Amino acid sequence: MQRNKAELGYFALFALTCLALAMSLYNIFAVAPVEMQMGIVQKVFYFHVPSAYAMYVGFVVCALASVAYLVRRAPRWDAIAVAAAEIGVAFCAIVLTTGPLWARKAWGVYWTWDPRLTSTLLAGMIYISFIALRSSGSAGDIEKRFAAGLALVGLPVIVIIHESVKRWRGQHPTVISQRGGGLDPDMVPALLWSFAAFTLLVTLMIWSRVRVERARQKLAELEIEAARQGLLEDS
Amino acid sequence: MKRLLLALPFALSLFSLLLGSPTLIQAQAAGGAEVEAPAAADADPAASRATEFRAVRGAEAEQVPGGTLMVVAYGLVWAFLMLFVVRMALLHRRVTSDLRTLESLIHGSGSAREPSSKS
Repeated sequence: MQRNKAELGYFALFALTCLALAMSLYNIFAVAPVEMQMGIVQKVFYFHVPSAYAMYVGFVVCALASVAYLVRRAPRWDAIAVAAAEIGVAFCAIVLTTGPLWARKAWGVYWTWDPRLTSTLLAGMIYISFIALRSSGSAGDIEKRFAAGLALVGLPVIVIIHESVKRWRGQHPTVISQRGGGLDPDMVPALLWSFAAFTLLVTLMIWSRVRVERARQKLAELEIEAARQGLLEDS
Repeated sequence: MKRLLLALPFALSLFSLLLGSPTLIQAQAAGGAEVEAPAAADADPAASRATEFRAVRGAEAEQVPGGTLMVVAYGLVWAFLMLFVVRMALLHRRVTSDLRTLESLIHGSGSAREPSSKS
């Protein structure tokens, strides 16, 4: 009964995510106007910024789940940490590819060692190291704890990414800030729909990955049981 | 039902292409108009000889195809998401198959070790 509810919830989330993405695309291309100075390339903004937000979600969830694993040592938290790290890295890759494509038009260069870009690249590298450490199938408790520590090292970098545009001079724009947005009112619905869609998307992706990771953990337990019974040598 | 839901991301890709193409065509037309004007001066070589220096400013400095960059950016986003979906499907299939094999091995050995009821 509980499993059926979980399955239903999963597919409901999937359907909602697809609907939100469709609404976001409609608002981006049919409602939001073209920006005056940058032209059509500015529309990358509506996926670039929510991708950065989804990257933050992934890395923060990974760090928090790592803390929970270090404290409780429950496999569930380890599965969440691994899943969130992978999703965070995926969205980091999206940010670091869409950003330079936009920058080519806006700044004339694909890349510059701007504080925000550099710190985003650093965070991505830290969590790629986490994934590399956990990618070997036989990760023992020591590897898991070391990886959890690495995830915690990445957490301050996320704060640096966010604060870098305020603290240091760089080229990266701050269109949305605490002083209010520099966004045309007609552009706001597209951005809000994109944020909603990416919130659902990152939740769905983490949930999907956690399901697979929990199945792998169960597989590892069964392998130990089968080896204990001497079944694996015969097959 | 599952196949219908799995086909939704591909339908969304098509949807975004359909929505994006009118906007892209408009942007390309606006960009193309800027390129046509200089071509007329090349027809007369004497007219094209430099007699003064003029500064190049703003968008005239370099024609960077903003529409192409936008399409590539959105294409990459969809490519990453599709890669994730495919990877999850493959992982899930492999793990489920291994789980079934091991469970049948373990349960099969368990029933083999019980004393047979038929004599």
